[in-house]
Amino acid sequence: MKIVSTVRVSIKGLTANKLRTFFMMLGVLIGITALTVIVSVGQGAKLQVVQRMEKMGAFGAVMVVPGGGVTRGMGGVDTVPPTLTVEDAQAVKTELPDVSDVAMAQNKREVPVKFGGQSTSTVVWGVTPNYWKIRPTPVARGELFGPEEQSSAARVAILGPDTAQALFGNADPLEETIRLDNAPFKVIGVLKRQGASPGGGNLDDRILIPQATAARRLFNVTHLSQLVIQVKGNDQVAAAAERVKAVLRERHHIAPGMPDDFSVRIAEQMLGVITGTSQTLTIFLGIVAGLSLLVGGFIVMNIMLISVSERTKEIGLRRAVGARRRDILIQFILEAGVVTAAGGLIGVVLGVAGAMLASRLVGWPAAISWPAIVGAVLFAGVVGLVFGVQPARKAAALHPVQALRG
Amino acid sequence: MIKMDGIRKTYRVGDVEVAAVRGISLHIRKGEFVAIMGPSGCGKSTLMNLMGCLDTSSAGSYLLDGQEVAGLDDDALSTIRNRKIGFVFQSFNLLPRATALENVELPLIYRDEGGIKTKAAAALASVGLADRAHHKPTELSGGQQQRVATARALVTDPAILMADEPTGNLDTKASEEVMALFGELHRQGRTILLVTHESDIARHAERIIHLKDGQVVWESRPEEVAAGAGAGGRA
Repeated sequence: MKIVSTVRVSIKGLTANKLRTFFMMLGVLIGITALTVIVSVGQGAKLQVVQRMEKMGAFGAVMVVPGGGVTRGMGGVDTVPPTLTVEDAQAVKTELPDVSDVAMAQNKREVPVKFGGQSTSTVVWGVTPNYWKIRPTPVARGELFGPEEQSSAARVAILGPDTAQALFGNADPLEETIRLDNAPFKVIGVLKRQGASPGGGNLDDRILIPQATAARRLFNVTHLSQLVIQVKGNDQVAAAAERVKAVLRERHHIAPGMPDDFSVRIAEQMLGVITGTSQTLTIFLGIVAGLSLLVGGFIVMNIMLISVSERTKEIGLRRAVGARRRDILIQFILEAGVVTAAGGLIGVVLGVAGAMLASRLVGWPAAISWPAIVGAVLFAGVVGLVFGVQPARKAAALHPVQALRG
Repeated sequence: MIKMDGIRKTYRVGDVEVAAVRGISLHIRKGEFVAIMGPSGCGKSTLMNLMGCLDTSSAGSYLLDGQEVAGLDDDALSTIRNRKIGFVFQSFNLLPRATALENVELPLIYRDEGGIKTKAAAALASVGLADRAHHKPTELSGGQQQRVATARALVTDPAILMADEPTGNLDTKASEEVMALFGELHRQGRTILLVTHESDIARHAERIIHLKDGQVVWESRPEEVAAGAGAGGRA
């Protein structure tokens, strides 16, 4: 008996009782749908973080913040230890050949900002102009400051769009003078809307000023709160981070065995921390969905057993007209396999639709993971084949005479 | 065509051995129309199953179309059923969701041959149901259903047609219709074996083998049966 006609016979057997076939499909269908949605949404969450990081130019850069440990050092100049200096930045730049650029930053949260009668408070970043090269910072209006403003410690400021909105409403902020902690600054640019940072901060609510201005005229401190180091060749970031660490340890006279008084971070590692949690959740939910597939398999097996009992006469007839045991075996295994594979395919369609809907609702990109989906459908088919074996063996084992009696 | 020699069939029911067929020897020639008659429990169904290769005998020799069948395995018996035997059952045994044509195709899908549709359509035409090809069994009369079943039995061009109480579920008119078809097939040269307990049906055959308690007790011509079942006192 040819495989094509066997498949046709199996499909015929399935269409004969559509309701039963539907119930057989249901368990697998739900499992695959859930699996597709979960994996896609999980991948989407990861993709979103990666996209944010890429937008920020985070990859290929090493970030150094003062203070050891993982949780410390993200604060402003007023809260971090004063251990990271301009000289550190220069040493990293000159001593390490694979470092192409080092941007320095000082930041402070909750700085009062005023314009006319409007006042707000936001985070102020003093950055060197090469910061733009490492962290893409597009302006919507006006311009970014350059080396002249840095060397002259000019009182110029670039506003995030949310900050501009808070101070100026719909009016044009360019060339206006705002007061940062009562010191006057001229607005020379407004940033393009960028949304959230990979860590979840709002990139649209901040003020950027030259680092020298921040050090001398606003914060009145010389220590830095961040170094952003551009590395030549994105693959070398981890190695470069180690070399940066060595240079800083030497400069800070840290004895071997003592902990760093700074923290070196690379985006690749942060990505791991951020996505690790969602990955664990995805795997856990994936296992639950896999279990529902298994339950679907048991449903298929039970309904197939009922089907075999009900179709005893048909089996007897097929045997009488020349079907061998293996023809019957293959027919019923294929019925189970076809039904679960079809359930899997429908599940994928529903799952992809569901993932797209979910991504629209939560606002992150849908990442349809086709290898996972193909794997899921194959797995569904295998579930059907495996759970179809027992009913099919029962069918094939029937004695023709007894089967014909029904 | 069929040559049975000392065929026995015993079943085990618990600890007891029950002999359903107790040493039957018979000979059916090519082109013959033979009926097997007997009361229920006489072993005629068991004999039919043995002749149809649906079951294997406990002892004896069975030559079908020149081939020894006793001792063949399940696969070989399946192939013989497919190639050499056409079955017609009392309850028609048509697949309810399949059309007449699809029912007739059934034996052919277990062969690796082409032209299934053509052959099935020709078989259906030969029983006069070409115009009912796409009807489901429920849309056909009992007589028509049994003719579809007969077409299914004939589609493989078998060496012998075996009918087990083919009129058992039919009224008199439909019974006559089916028996007329069998008569026609016989005239065309088909070898036909008919199992029945009704003498009215058996009289369509050329020769009647009477069974009792798993043994052949009497052979007769239809005229003798028609003359009176009491002739041998055993029918």
